[in-house]
Amino acid sequence: MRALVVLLLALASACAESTAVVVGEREAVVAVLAGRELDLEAPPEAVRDEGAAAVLVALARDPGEHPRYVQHRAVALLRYHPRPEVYDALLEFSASDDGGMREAALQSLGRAFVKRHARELAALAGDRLADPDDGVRRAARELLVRARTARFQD
Amino acid sequence: MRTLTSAVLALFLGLSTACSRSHEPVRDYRGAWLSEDGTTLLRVAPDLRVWFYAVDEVGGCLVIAQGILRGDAIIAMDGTRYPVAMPKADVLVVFDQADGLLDGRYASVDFDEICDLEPPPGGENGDHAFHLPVGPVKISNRIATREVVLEVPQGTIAFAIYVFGKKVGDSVWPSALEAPNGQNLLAHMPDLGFCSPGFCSIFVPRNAALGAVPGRFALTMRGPEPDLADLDARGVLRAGPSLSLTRIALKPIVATSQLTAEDLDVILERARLVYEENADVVLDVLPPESAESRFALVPGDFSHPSVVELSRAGEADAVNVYFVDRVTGIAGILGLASGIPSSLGVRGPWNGVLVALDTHRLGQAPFDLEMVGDTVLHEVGHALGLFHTTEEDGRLHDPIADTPECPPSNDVNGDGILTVDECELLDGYNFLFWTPMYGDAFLAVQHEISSEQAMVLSHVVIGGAP
Repeated sequence: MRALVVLLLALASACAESTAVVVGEREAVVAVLAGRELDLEAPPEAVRDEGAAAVLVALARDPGEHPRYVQHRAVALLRYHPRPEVYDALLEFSASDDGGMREAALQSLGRAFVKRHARELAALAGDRLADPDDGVRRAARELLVRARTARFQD
Repeated sequence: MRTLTSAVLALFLGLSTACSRSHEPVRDYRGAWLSEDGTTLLRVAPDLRVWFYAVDEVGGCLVIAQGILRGDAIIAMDGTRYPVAMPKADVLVVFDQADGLLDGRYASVDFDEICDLEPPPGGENGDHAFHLPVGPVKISNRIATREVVLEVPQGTIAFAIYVFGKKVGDSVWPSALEAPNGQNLLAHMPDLGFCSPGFCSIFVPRNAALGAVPGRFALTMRGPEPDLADLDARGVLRAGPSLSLTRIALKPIVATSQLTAEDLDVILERARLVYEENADVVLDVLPPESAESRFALVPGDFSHPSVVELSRAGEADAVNVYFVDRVTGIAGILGLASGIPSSLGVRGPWNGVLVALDTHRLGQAPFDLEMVGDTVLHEVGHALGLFHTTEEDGRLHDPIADTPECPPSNDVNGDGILTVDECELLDGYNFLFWTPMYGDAFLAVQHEISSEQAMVLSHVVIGGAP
């Protein structure tokens, strides 16, 4: 198995000199999400590209064989995709049974959608101020202030 | 309601105009004001900039937005005017005619009391740690510095200097570490020091090239003069000789209800075996301690009151491992070390690592104990003073000479990310490689520890004979 990987790496290296090997978008996105640390404020381009949004939503809905940290990060990185279908998905995730999903969804909504949906998000945040999960409550407080001050933000 | 608000506004604006015509002084809005629900803090600075903050339940504030006060209105970035009024000296009323979201009464508050929380103390010294005096502020060419001096005695094989303070790791940083021979070691090896918010650590030896020598080591901390005021410095010395087998105490603190005693044994045994077999380090696991369930969710901020309280269950002369359900505030945290190294030898919030269980789950299935064990292995490696061997794009590497460096050129698929398989023949299987995942998403077993990494581990300041 290791020999096969080495062979593939060698072939890929050879190819890389002439042309970059194209990989599936999902694989590229997962590679970013999978690190032990990820700077959510400055993630690599692979997860900011337009095409990554659908992959992130899919991973957030069903991470498949991946651990839950990949799923939480997928939701958090949707902040870089201010599109209507992402907004709908984040509202769905904000009602998840998983506190980590709810927290990440509120964070992303606050970063990407308060200008267009200030009233709706202020109401959502108000509801979540009593969430049993400390992290969700903290994210809700932040979302509420972001929604209230949407016109003050760049 | 809106009609009433408009009427009040009209009355207020009328009064305001009348006041300005009669040359009466404009109300002084400078100060801090908190919304009735306690979430939104508005601060009017002396320059009339208006800052909006989200307020945490336990205090502490996050800047969200800013505007400017012009006359009796706050002006937003998009030009929207929000008239304000002060019906009483301690109440500010904001009128939001655009959305109604900022409408309301804001009570006058002490900004520092709510937002500018006192930093937690560095902690209690263990058997090998002691306070170090911090010299007076010196100003040269408008640069303010303070000096911390550690005398390293003959026979010392390792030492650490810790500096705690509100602005440490923010505006206050180590700028020089003068060795007994006059050389600035930080210029020679910047990785000698590492800072996280509130805490910086200097540790020698970070690698085989730079060992502890006897004499005077002077650490210079640099920053704005007011931010240098509250520095608290500690020193930790480890006397020789170097050992062929080194004992390091590990204290498990369990704040999650998801972990059985058997699970904990499996997790810690996995980490223990790797250290013993690959680094000649014996992790001496102390009896686990249970923490209250309110600590099952803690923020990824070691100066947060919850983490500070939780850390009281830790030990000074051990590396503390806190098992929680989830680390909040930053999505997808597996584990988090308080420093590289942590404040080993001092019992406090910066001595230890947080390990989150929820993020290790595979769907609804129980979490993967081996994966949690590998997170403990990795984060404890940071807490003991080791960096990632290679960072995600291959441009940064640790200061250890014998850990292979996986370069950007190994990124065969050109996605800017190095995965385990792309670095397989180099450091992909090292326990401090930056990611545990192959490109195809399967998790790798990363248990390799290089000889020089093992040497650093065997020199940690809380190490001793088994």
